Amino acid sequence: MNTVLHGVVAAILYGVVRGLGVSRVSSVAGVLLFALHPQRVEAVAWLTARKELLGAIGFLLAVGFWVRWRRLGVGWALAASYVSALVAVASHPGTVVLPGVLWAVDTFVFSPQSGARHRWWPSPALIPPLLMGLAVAAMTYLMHQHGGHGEAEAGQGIVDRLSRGLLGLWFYVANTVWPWPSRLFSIPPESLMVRQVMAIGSLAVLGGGIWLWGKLEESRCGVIRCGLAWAGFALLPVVGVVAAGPYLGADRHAYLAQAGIALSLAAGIDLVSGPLRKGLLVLAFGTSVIFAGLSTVRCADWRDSFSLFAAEMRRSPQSKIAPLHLGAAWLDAGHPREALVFFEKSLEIDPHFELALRNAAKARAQLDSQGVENLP
Amino acid sequence: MWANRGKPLVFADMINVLNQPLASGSRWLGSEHLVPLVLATVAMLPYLQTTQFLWVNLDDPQFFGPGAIASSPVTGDALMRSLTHGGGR
Repeated sequence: MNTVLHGVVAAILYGVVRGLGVSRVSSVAGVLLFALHPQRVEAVAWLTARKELLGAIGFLLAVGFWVRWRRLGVGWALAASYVSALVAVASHPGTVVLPGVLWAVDTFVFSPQSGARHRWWPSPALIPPLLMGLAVAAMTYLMHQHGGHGEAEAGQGIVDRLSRGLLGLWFYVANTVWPWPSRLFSIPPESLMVRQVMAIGSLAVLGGGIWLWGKLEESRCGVIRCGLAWAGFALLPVVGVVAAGPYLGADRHAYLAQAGIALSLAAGIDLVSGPLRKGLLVLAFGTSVIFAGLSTVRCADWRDSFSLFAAEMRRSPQSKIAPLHLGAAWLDAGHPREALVFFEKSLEIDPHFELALRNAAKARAQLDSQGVENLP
Repeated sequence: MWANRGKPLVFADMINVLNQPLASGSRWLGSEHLVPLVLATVAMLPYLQTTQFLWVNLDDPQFFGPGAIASSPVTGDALMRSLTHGGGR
């Protein structure tokens, strides 16, 4: 089912990119880069990530209908955009940034065309999706506070959040540009120097983005700007400024942001002509083929919990989290003896890892209840 | 007909086009409308190996749970290595 939903997302994204005026072949190139990128695997192959796909369908439909409304002025399209926005925020809280993306469509694509005087001022039509987004953002924050993330949030100052955000941004940028090998659990490195390098890299990306933004000619590059703003908005809730666990980020959270990047890339290819355009198209299609192969390989890891966490153990032998999860999978399957082996493996790496200590105790208790002779 | 309208495609157009009867002369199977279908199909290609989940018995240990370990060289290998590193238990 997730596979089919991902196909639907690709088709709708194509409609949105075409709707914003990008040529057919460039749209196909952009959508293929998005759809076949190995970072999609977590969202598509993991059943629990269906929320990402449903959220993306609502999100993209909302943008598509919004564009339709802007072009033709038909009321039903605006209503359809609102309904789609409701579907999006009800499916995934990451879509609360939708009003920002709709504002980017207005500001960078339609305002320059219509010669609007107050182009930066948001349209009143944005109020309903804005209210939906605020309501869902508030609910999500409260649920995080009461659902286990409150501890991670406590004591986070503005400097903590910003530095964490820079590390998270590096995770997403690095994995977008070079998505191999995969890392299921990326936690901030312990080395201060590595952290500093990552933060400086993120600042360089931000500075480069702002420089590029200024270089883009307003009248010709509205769609590229819109796509970049889309990606920026989509990264805001997932980059780590709001702490929601020990990880730098997750591949599935790049789903919406990379749709914006795909829009920018497709529009960028349209900007040039002649041999350069042909070269870019060949590069895009060639990269898509490579991405398809990598995604196919990565997808095999996602067959079940055992294959997934075993593959992660193989790639990151020093990860204390992979054996913890593999042990938990064995425990869930009713095999405490095997589970204990992996919890102890995790404790070999970090003897004070609280989750592993707790799970190992749980496994020992189950073995105790089965009989002393079963104890390892 | 659609192709001559001069307006870019959005998803609503796809729905409209699909709703039009063939007799009206609409080229709903024209290349423009096949593109999203082809894209959707291509996007699904890397994940076709997971479609076995659609028709296998979800309780079958061959596909899920520790039963899968025995048939999987990846997980079996990881298990053996971790057993070795874990002190030979």
